[in-house]
Amino acid sequence: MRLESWSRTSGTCITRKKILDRIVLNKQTFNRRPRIYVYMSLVLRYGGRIGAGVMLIGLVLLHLHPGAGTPDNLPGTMFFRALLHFDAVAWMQAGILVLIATPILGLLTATTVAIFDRDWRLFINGLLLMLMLCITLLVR
Amino acid sequence: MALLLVGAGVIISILGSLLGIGGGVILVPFLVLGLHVPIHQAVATSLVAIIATSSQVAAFGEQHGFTNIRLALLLNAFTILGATLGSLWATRVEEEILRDIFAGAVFVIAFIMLIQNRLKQTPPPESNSGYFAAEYYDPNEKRDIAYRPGHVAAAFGAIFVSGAFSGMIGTSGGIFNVPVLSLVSRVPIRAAAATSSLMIGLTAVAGTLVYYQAHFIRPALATPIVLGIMLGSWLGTRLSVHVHSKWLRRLFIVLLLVTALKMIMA
Repeated sequence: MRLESWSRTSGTCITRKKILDRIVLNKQTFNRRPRIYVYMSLVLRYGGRIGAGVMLIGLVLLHLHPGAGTPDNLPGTMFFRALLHFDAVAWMQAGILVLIATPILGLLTATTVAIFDRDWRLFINGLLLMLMLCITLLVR
Repeated sequence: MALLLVGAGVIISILGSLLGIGGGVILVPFLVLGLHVPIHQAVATSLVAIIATSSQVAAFGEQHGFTNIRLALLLNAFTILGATLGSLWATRVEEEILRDIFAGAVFVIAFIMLIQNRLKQTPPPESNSGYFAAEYYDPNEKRDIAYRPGHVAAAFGAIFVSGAFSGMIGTSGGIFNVPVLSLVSRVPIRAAAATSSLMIGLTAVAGTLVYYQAHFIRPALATPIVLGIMLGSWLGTRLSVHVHSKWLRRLFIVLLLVTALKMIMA
């Protein structure tokens, strides 16, 4: 039963032997992955999905209240107020911000894991990239 | 209108998946020539879409251990610098100049697509020693592949230019990154593609931050397109197994050249 549902989610028609082969392959790969891969993969996958979900809420709100909301980006304080009032544009903007934050969180995860793994070159590299992104944020 | 944009995003993304390119090179001309969106807003929308898709693709690469994280983060220093400078410059120039640059870049992309299959990679030295050395299990070859990237410093310049173009014209840069990683640094193609997908996400973030601050991101335009592209990317990866893209690729190159000419003349 479990094998059948697994094959359905993979979207391809495969035999039971192939399913077993693939499970063995996946186990071989997954068991050996360093934790940096596991954590980064989780952050990127769920960050992207959450961002898309929030954007979808904004799109639904736009359909429920056509013509509502402002057509452009909302500045700081207005943005949070509009978000609480279920403004469609504010929710879409929040989704975009979550999407932008996702790779940055992935980088933060890699840098943090590098500390625990005592991979100081990767740690310094991660810090440098975050510094560069901060400078990008400040430059106008 | 929103549904039309979602549909366009789905089609663009499926086409991109079948052709093995990012959607930016299709999305920007569609928005500029088809919907008369100012090119700065089109580029900003494309960069947001790139972040969305690259997060999902990079997560897959890392889940299976194909990505070389150390190499990706080192090279990202150059792509981020390039994207920041490129996007800062792009937000300050006239639309016509940006259109011409986009058209020029499209010619280069068409040329790379034309010669891509003829480029032969020297097999990487099988080694698991060295800081950038990595190992992954290749499900097609059913064996472990250990490799050590070489000439990493030689890739810096090309990767910087790739980042700059990404920030300027809203393309992912994957079409430049993968051949550079594969041919210059001799990273196996599967690992090069996964490493590039991690790199393009952070590169697009740098560009997006600049466009966001300059108020070129329009949520009502970007949202349906990004959602469509995410859906299309999911469908496209499943379709690409069944579709032979040789003729589609040739047709697309012609279409790219026509688009480039239209961008110059518009």
